[in-house]
Amino acid sequence: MQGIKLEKVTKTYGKKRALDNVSLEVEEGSFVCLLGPTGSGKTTLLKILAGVETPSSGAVYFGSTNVTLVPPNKRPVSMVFENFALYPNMSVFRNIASPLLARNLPKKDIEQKVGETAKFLRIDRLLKRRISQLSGGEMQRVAIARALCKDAKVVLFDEIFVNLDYKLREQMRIEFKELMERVKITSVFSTPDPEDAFMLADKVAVIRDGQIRQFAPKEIAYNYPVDAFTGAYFGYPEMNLLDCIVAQRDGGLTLESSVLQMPILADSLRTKLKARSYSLGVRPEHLKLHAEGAPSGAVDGREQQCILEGSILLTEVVGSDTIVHVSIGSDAIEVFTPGIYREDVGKHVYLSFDPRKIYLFDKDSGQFVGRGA
Amino acid sequence: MRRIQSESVAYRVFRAVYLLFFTVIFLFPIYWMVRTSLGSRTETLLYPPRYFPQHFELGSYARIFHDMNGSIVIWNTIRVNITAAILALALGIPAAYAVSRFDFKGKEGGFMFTVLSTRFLPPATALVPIYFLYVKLGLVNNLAGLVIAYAGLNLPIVIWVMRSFIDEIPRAMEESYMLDGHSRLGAFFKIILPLSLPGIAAMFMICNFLTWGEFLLSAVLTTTYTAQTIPIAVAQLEGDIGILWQQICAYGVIATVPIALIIVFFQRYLVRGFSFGILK
Amino acid sequence: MAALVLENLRKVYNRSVVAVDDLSLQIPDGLIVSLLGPSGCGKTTTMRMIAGFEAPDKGRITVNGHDITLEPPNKRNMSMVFQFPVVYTNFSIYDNMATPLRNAGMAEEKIREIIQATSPEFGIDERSWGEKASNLSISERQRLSLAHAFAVERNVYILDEPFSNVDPKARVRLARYVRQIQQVKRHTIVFVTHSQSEALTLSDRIAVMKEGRILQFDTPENIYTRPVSTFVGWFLGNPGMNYVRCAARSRGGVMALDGGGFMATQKVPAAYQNRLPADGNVILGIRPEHISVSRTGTNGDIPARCLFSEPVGSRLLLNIELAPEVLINVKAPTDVKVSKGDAVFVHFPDTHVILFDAKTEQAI
Repeated sequence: MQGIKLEKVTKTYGKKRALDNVSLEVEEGSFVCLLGPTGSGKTTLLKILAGVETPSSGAVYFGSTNVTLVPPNKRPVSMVFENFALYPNMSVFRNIASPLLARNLPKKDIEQKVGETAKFLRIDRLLKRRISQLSGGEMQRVAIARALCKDAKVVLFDEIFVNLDYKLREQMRIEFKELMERVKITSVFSTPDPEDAFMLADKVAVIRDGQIRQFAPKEIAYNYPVDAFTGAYFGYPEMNLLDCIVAQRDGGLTLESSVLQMPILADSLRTKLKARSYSLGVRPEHLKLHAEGAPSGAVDGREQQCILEGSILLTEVVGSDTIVHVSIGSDAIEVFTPGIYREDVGKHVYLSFDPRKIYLFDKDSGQFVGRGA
Repeated sequence: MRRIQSESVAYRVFRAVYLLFFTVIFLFPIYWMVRTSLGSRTETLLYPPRYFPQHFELGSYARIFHDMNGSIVIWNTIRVNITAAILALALGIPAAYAVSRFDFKGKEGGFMFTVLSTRFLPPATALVPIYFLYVKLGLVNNLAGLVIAYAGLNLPIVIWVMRSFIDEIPRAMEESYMLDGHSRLGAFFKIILPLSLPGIAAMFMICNFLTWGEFLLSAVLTTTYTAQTIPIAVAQLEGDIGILWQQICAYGVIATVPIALIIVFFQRYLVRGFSFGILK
Repeated sequence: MAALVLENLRKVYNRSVVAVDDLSLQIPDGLIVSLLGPSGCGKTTTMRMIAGFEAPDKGRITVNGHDITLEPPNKRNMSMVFQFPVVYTNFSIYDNMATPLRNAGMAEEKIREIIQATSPEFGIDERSWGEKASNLSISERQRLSLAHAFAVERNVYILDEPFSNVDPKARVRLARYVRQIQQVKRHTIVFVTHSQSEALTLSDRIAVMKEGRILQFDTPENIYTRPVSTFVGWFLGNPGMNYVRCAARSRGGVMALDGGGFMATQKVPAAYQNRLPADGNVILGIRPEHISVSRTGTNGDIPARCLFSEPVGSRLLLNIELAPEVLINVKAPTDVKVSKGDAVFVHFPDTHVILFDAKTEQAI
């Protein structure tokens, strides 16, 4: 089987258009992350792939077969739902065996397959338990085991981490990655959390308002986002966007605003700029915080840093790192600082970044214009 | 056990007295009914009434069973009510599932209202047409006929409440089951029904509550003891001779027993069932 | 402003569920203290006892020395902010904030002064005072709940997972208001949460709880760098601390890492030399960001294999297999060029190694 494909799929619910002319091609064996905010159409897209919903127009292909109207129990696809949808009235064994029981296989075969899959996912000792006795991580594995037992060619994951405790989410993301490294199967994973995409995906499809904005390997989407929304959303934390205009200075073209003045170093960029408003994008991980006065000279071995000045709004510790929210002019900028850093609100600080690491977007259309280098 | 002292002694005393007062008021009629059923006619009619009778006799109960075809009537009542409840559930739950899961014309526009509105109607209004219909169908004085009528009374509530209950079950459960390879029907029987058991138990109880003391339909649609229910038999105890209180109370006590058993058996489902389906 | 002391609190539900078990805590005046732990650890029950919604079965609660254990909530001079915003929807924003002040019998001019001072602390514009609270979004309502709680001077302010139902951007704003107001006013605040990040962001002290007990009560930095048990080390940090079982033999000051068979040796850090348990079985704990990984090791490094390597933020998250079933997480700088499947060498620097007794899982 070659892979799966959505071709110009549109889905409307009453007046609402959940999916708008969406086309997507997922290669066999790849792990695609469907990334987008709540309500962007992710679940609808997965349901159409699964066959639980039918598109208003467009087609779904598994390999070269048109499966648009094939019901879910006849498609070689399985799905793991938010909250895992394990059947509480059945034991772990029966949950995992469910797809095999549907095929009316002989009892011995079922026991063998369930045993194998459970062992592979390290839950073989849980087979006799009731669902209510399982921990979050165990439930995840049971849900995946059930999906694998269907002998599907494609597994769909619908926002499976969304309702978890913070700590559990962090933990399960890593476990899930470990698992999926061993299970080689075409996967589509939907999530609103870019951290999931960073960790898990080969390719990422950023979706917004029922349209796929960009579908690319994650390095490409990270380095060459197609527009300001994608650039900002596919980042953790979100990319900072500053309004600026192009100005002519002695040294050449600069990007300016009330709080910054940045020389444009890249030739490729210089030729594209016009007298318009732009959005300057700087990723929080490319900003460096200086709490003891303005940096002078080289920062991290590089000259030509752009300096911003502001005061701390909040040092938000997230796990083992800190997002420092800094007020610069009328904007709030986020700086990603490794390690735990705590500081008072209001402290005067400086930020530096390398002009070569910036992104530039057209202010009105949001379109990607170029990189700093 | 320690408690937060937001409650002064005076308040606690008042509360205890208050609760005791209302407990007595609620339990007294039941006590009186039992007491009367076990007493003689003269005891019953004493004025001022004697609260603790001296004699006990089971004559009233004997009379019910020997002279009044009591066992048949009681058995009718049990059979009709339980069967009607089961029938309402058998028809209502799939209907509730359909309303919960599927989209159809008129669903928003008042389908549920229409369903429930049949219960708003005072049965007396529909009595005459129903009677004539039953005559034509030969269902008069027929237990089956009564079952159908009672099921009709129960059906709207069953659909209404079970729909809320099924709404609570995430669609992902059936979708997952169907993705596993089963049909929707399989999902209905293996997933929805087991998960709805508390609601089903609660609704079974409620249906019985609703129809147990039903008088009007039973009176009109039945003519002889072969099909009559307890309320009708009790009504017949008010006759020319006078009002046979002891027998009435005896019947009352007997009528209470099956319901009490149902409650005891299904009780643990009731709270869950109520809070899930009804308080929405 | 008050010092809050909890002494030997115990609370049991239904005769069998021990929600809080012999819990003692001293919260100094003027600090934000978090009760941090997973669901079911007893933090909510403890909070309810502090507020007066539950009475402890045993133990005492004192505020500034006064025993308030059995006093009703309205007599404790405490404010509370709940998980869901609690606003009086038919009142205006102004009246919402004024209600507790009016209940205290304050004059209207004084009330106006106070609200005038409080509003900017929570970013509430004076011009919006007249608006009805029912028009506000959830985040705005929660902001109003906070302003309402902090408008009055109280002994203790209790915040019960106040940010859990608020969108992420608003969460940052609200956290900032709390932090800001704390820098100036130095209230005594009890903050209940299951998010280690919230606790680390806001607290002066954290009480890590599990199964009805306090495992560790200290500053966020100390809890992070010197966890007192494996659970605490795991619970804080993203990812949490790594654990490897080791057998330490006092001779030669070396311990063997147990990967189901001999794996590698690691020097016992000097500080632990004389404090090893009798049987020598310890658990080595080290945080992902403290481990160094390279393609070519130096003497003493542990050979291992990289299972996956993904960039997260400005670091690389590596999942390293020391032995089958012995996996550790490593956070490395992005210039470390290690990819999936590579053979690598791993180094645990002495200064960041923490040893735990293998049986009790407590720090040595």
